[in-house]
Amino acid sequence: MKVVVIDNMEWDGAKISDGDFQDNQMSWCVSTLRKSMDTIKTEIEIDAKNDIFKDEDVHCFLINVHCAIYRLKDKTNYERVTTYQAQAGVDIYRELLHLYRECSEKLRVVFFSPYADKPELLFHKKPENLILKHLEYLQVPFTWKQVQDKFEQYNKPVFNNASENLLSGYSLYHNQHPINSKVSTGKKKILFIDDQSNEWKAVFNEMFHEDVIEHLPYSNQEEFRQNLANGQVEKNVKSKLAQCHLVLSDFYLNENHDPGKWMNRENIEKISGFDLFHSIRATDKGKAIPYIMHTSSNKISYYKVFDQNGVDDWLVKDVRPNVTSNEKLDNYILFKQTIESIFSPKIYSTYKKMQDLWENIQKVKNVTDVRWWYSPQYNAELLVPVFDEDGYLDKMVFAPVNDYRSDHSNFTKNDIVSILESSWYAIRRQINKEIKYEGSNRSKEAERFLATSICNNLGKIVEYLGIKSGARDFSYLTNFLLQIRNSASHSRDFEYFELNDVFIYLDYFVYVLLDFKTLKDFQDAFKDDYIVSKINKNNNRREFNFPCNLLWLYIQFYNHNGSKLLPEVRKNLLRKRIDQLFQKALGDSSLKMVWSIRTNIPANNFKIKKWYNRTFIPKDSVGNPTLNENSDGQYLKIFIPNSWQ
Amino acid sequence: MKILIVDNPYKDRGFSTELRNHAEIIIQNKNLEAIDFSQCQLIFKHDSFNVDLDSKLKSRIAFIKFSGGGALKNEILNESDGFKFKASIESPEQINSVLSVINKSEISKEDLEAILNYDSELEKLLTPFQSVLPLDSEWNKHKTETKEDLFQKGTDLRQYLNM
Repeated sequence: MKVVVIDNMEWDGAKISDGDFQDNQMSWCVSTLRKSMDTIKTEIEIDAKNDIFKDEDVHCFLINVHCAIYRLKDKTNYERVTTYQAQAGVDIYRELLHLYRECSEKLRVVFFSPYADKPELLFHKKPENLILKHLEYLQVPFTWKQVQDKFEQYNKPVFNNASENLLSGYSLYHNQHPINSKVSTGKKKILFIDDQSNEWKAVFNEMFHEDVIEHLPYSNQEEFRQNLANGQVEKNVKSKLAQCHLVLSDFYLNENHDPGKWMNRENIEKISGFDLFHSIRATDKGKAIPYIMHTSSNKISYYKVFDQNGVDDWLVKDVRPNVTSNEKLDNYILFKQTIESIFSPKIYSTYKKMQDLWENIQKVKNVTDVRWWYSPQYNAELLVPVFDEDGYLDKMVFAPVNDYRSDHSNFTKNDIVSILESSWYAIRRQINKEIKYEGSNRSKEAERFLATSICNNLGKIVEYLGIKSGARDFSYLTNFLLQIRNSASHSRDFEYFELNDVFIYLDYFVYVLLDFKTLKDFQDAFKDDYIVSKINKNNNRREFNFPCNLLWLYIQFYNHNGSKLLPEVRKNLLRKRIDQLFQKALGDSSLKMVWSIRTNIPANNFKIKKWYNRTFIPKDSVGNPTLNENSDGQYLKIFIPNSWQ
Repeated sequence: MKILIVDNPYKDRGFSTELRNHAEIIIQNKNLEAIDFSQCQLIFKHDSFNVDLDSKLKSRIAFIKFSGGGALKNEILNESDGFKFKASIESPEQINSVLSVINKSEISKEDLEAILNYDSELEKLLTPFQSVLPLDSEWNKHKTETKEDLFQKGTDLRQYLNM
């Protein structure tokens, strides 16, 4: 096994097991004495890589951690520009990583130093050199036999410049922040896709908690690329999506990294990592999973293409061999913050809700049996099924509910699904956007614009179904669905809306379309009183506009029997929003006026007993009522009357 | 004036705010002549700033050249006081070291070493091993030191590191 030594001094005259070092065909020395890093790199490439190791499967380097680097001061004089304690031998290793970037598995490195028998003290002095923990190490003095044994029994992880730089950054961060220095994912898993996945394993083991990273089962770049070409990588990724919560994927999976190259949009979209991203997004399971592109490129135009196509974020692999410590630290902090921000409860729960919603919308899209809303009047003659070429029933034309002339609507199930999907995409665009430039007030305003416009558009489905306000058979549906739309349309309630209301509304829409097979099932579920209007005693007309209408709608919906059929996860969001809206409404003077109705109107008009059955008291996270006791010693309650006569 | 940063004016904002706030002036081309260098104790000079300051500086001034993109993140070449090496001011702790020096009446070699994260004792302990081959068989053949001497120096090094 051939060995190249990189040390401060020449090894001429040294006795090794087979005789003099310089006469041995199996060994060679690159002395760093009076040499700049450029000269050292050239010697390693020409003398070692291309000559000594020309026909070797493994390239073994024995490196002095304390090599010094020089520079030419004038025409003949050199001066040393690194100290021994600067550990420039590790910098030389980084140049080796660059030199072996396309064949890192060939590289074997053993460091030596007069420090202790374990290298901890070395990276304790220079945290950025944590790599010393992961490579072989010999304490000075040692025998040549020990060197040979180390190389022959070599079983150390492989790295590349990008992974080593990130490891350095992690170590520098850990040195400053020993607690919580790892990237926290809250036990959620990351699917890691990279043609050089092995080069990241040891680094990720340091940076993440146990079992966070899911690697693909390929042992090297060649095997990965073969499987990428025959479609196995794509299959493998898709099979793992359900168990993972984020995808971290290399951009150049099949192409060699070329930071100097510029590509136009068309070429960017042809790059293998982008191609794989598209095929994952095309699946239902991969529709909403957060996706981070991990790339050596830092070209803004590329990121713009990523962003426009729904890549959630991107992290730059710093592949330079001579990155400063500060840059490594900053890159690790960025990496950590990017991953952790996606796994923050608020943002990740949004991704989760989006994924669930998408899958439910697809159920609506793919349902093939006749649903109550195809023909609510149960008149088989009104059903006009339209089959596509495959006999797939996706063009069912339904009759409007209140269309007593029995004219068929021109709208199809696809039109409804289209609105549902468009609503989903509108929210998807909003997730994880940098909106700081808008300012907090403008940001909230922009979110309300989006939320209310989606709710307004969802209201079109009610029109498609032909359900009009006051339609007897659909009064409950009408009340809830139409009034959410109405609330979203008017200035009075506008300020109460946020994206979570769209989730509730959209989720409920999908629920009523999907979970009730017949009109009777639906009516049974909602047959109980569910009134969100009141009668104006002066003109005997129904009034729908309450202060903070959204809150009243939600409270009544939450109390209603029909909503009890909702899965708990859906009810939790509803409950949370009621709590939020209630706290907000506490400061609304007009809402207090509504409460005062309770005391101003004779009790017998309110069927008080029934009210109590419909009492809702907002509670805090530990279950205590969030309302103060009133003067009667009772908790102030919101009473939901059967009617507001 | 105790500290001076010599750089092109457009790089002003590249320096850390903390350091900039403590430097009393940043030289700009137009007012170079107006500076009273006799009051300077520590000077950082960007190597792209092509002005010969030698004639203006007195020997006691600590003079640190640096290169790269501002903020004192990049390599710094220390040319003062006889010890020559590259180092870098990268971390906030080192900036604090600079700040702690500012209020001293005189800046010593050790102050600069602290700024540059340079441990002269460690360097002294490491030096003998850089002129002897690391092979066990070679330690017996060393020109000036016995194997026992070298082992003792190794022990001294490790003791120092474990302190």
